[in-house]
Amino acid sequence: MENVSEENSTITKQEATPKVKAGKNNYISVKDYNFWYGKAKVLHDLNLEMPKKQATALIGPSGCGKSTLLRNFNRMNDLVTEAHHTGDITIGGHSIYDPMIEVISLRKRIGMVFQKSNPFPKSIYENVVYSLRVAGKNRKSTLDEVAEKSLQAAALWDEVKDRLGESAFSLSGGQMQRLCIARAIANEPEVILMDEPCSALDPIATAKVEELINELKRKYTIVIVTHNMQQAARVSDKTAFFFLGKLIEYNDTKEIFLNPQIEQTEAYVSGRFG
Amino acid sequence: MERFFEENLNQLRINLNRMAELAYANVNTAIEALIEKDLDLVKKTIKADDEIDELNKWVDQHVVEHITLHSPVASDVRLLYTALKGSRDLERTGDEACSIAKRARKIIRSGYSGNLYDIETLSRLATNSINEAISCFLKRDLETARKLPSKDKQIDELYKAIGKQINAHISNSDLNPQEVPALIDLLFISKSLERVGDHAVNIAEEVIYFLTGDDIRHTNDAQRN
Repeated sequence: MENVSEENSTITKQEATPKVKAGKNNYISVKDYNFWYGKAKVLHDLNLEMPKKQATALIGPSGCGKSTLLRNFNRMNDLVTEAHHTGDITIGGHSIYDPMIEVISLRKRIGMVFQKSNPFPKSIYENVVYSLRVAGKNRKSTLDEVAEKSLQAAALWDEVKDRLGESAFSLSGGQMQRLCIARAIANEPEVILMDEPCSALDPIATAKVEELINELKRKYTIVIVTHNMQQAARVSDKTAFFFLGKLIEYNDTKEIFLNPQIEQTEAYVSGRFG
Repeated sequence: MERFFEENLNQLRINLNRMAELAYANVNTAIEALIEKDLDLVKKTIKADDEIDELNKWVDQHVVEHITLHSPVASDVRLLYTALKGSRDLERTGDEACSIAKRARKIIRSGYSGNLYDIETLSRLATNSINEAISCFLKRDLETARKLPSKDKQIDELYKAIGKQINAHISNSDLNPQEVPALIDLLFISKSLERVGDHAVNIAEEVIYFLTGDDIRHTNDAQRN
């Protein structure tokens, strides 16, 4: 995935005109970004660059705007009436708001994993290959290959290889969440967004997903929203702290957790906030 | 917002302060034993070291417990690091006091009544350094902590001067050979005091790390000479 924007993007160069070139190691750029739900401004003048093939954690108290920002990366908030923005977000150098971009193709580039696992009411196998079927790819050998590769990448293959035809709902909570990750990977995305992916999981399942995040970031750019400070410290390379829709501090994770420069960050990560 | 475990961290500060008070007092008592030729003060110094050792173990145990139970970050984890390292320096300072006391006992028992050189001054400088270092920790005084490494130069120079004087005395042909063991003990006592000064500098460096996150050890800022 070194040159992911050229090789794997489903958007052609004609479709998307890069407005801002991504830096050498940066992949997601948020530029002078403001966002409103109707009249309520929820994100204020955000500027940050997220590195390629690393995990960036978005942290902050409830309502600080971290999930809103995450959902803007694949334009999920387009579904909200009266939502609007100013500024820009670029991924791999391409503006996600370029009028030439189809939102569906954008969402193929950017996989998403939610707080609660949401497998389709289908078999384990069909869950993984669902997006390929929607795209009209039905050749069995291709589907088999993608299913195995994605389940292996999601560290689930060994647990389900003998029961691929069983319902996805027969899996445990942790397995279902990893199935959702496998489903996201099947699309060969450039970015994986994770919105509190472990909040409904027990410690063992959480450890497996965290281990998986560490593996996945060798290949994908990951953005994770988490309320679990230790999780942010364990899995991310960069951490951004938000408060009341503003980016308060953004730095290497070890700096944020060892020597934050802003008092509010220190108070939040060490539990003095309130 | 007062965190429910804040009391644990306060107790840590209180016990570090207690260790520093004991270490400071013990070095002074050991030197007083030497000057006043008082064997009771020797005993008192050696006995008091037990409390420093117990406090050192208490600090170690509570730091490990706090890390395990509360996953500290930012200034909390730097405080715990400083407590762990600082308590080790204070425990070693206590050991130096014991070592001084034991050598003072040998000197007293030998009947030596000669020159004690500038050992009293050296002791005052070293214990003041310990006092300042722990005060920097308690008052979060970065400015004084930054000055401490360079102040150690005075201690080192006085230690070297005492060493030269004792060596010169030992080389002197008029020397009573029975005084040699006492002079060697005085040399070791001055070395112990120089080490106390080094522990004070270590604590100051740890305080700088606690307050800023900067590790100045082995850098130009840490130049002691």
